[in-house]
Amino acid sequence: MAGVRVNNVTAVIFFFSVLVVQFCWTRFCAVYGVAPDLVLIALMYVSLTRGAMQGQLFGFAWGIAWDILSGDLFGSHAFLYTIFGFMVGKLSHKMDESKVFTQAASTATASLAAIGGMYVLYHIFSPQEYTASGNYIVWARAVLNVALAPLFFFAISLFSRRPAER
Amino acid sequence: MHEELTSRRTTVVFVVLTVVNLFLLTTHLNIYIRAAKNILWYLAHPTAAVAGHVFVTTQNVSETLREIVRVHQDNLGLQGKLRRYVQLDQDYQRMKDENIRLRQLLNFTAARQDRYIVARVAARDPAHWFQWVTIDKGFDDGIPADAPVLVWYGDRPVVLGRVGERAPHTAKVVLITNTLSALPVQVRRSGEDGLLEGLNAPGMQINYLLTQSGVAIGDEVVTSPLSAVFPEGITIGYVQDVTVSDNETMRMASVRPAVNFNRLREVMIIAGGGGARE
Repeated sequence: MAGVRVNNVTAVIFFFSVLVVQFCWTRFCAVYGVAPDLVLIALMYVSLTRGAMQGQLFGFAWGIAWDILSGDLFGSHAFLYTIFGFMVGKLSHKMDESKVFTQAASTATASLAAIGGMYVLYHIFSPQEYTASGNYIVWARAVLNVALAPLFFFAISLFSRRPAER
Repeated sequence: MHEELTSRRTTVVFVVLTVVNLFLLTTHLNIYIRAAKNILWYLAHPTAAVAGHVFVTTQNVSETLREIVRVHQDNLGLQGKLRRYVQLDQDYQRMKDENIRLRQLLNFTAARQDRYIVARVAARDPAHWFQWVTIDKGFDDGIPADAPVLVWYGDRPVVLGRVGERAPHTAKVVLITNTLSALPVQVRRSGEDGLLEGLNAPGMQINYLLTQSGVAIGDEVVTSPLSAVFPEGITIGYVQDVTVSDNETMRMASVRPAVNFNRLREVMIIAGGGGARE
C-alpha cells in the first residue's frame, strides 16, 4: 500500500514536473523559436516503460493540461496524446525501450503523427477562427524531439525504478 | 487470465477517454470551457512567473560567478605584477645605494638643478615688437644676466629669448627674433646644427647649413647641445622655407617661431642657468 502511495506521489510529481519544464522553461532554451515537445518525449517514456494504461492516462492528463495552458484547439492534444500513449503502450511489449533506436523511432513517429493528427483535427473540428500552423517550426520541433529523446530517457532512467513486470 | 482482464480494462479506459476527447473537441470552447480554462490558467500562472524569476536569477548567478572568476584571474595577474614590481623596487633601491656609494667614492658632484622664476610681461614697445619685451622682475628678484627665457606654449616650453638689460625689479628680454640674438640650434629630425639669427621680424633664419643638408620644410628646430645658455632640446620653431645663399656655398632656412608673440603673458626664466654670451 505504501509502495502504491509512493508510486502515485512520484507519478504526480513527474506529471507536474514535465508540465512545468515544458511550459515554463523550454521557452528560455528555444533555438530560433523552436522548443522541444518534452511532454511528447515523456509520454513515450511512460508508454514504453509502463504500458498502455499508464501511457493513455498520462497522455490524456498531459493533453488536457496542454489544451488548457495553450491556445490550441481545445481537446486536440488530449485526443492525440491519449492515442499515442495507448498505441505505444500496446507495442511496448515488442520493443526494447533501452535502445536509442527505439526511443528515437517512437518519438519520431509520434512527432510526425502529432503534426498530421493536428492537421486533420483542425480541419474536422476547428471553427473558422483556428488554423493549424504548418511552418518550419513544427518540423524542426520533430527533429529536436528525436535528438533529445535519448537524453531525456537516460536522464529519467537515472531517477526511476523499473517495474518488475509490465 | 489476469493479463486479458488488464488488457480489456485498458481498452475500455481508452474508449472512454477517446469519447471524452471527442466531446471536448466538439465543444469549440464554449463559454463554460473558456471560463474553466481561464481559471486554470490563472491558477497555473504563478508557476510560470516563478520559473521566469528563477531563470533570471540563475542567469544573474552565472553572471556573478563569471565575474568572480574574472576578478580572481585579474587578481592572480596583478599579484604576479606586484611581485615583479617589488623586485624592481628592490633593484632600484640597491642601485640607488650603489650609485650614492660610487659618487662618494669618486667625489662626484651632482648636476646643478635649475631654478625657475616666473615673471609677467610688463611692457612692450610697439616700435620694437619683435626685439624686446620688459618683464616685471629684475636682479633683486634673482634674475641673472643672459638667463634663458621660455614660455609655456601648449603642453611644452618653447624658447622666447634671454635676459638682456636688468634693473632691480624689471628686465628686458632679448627676443629670439631680435637681430642681436644668435644661438646654436639643431634640426631635430636630421640632427644638423646651425646658427639661428633674428631678423627683427616675425621670423628667423638658420645660417651655415651645408648644401647637402637634409633640412626640409616643417622640420622642428630645437636648442642645440652646443648652446651655453639654453638647455638642449627646447623647441624654437619650425622650418618654413629652405634657400641657397647667394654664392651657393651654403643653405639657409627660414624658421617660423613656435611662440606666439602676440600672446605673451607669463614667462619662465631659468635662474640656475646663465653663462657665456653666444
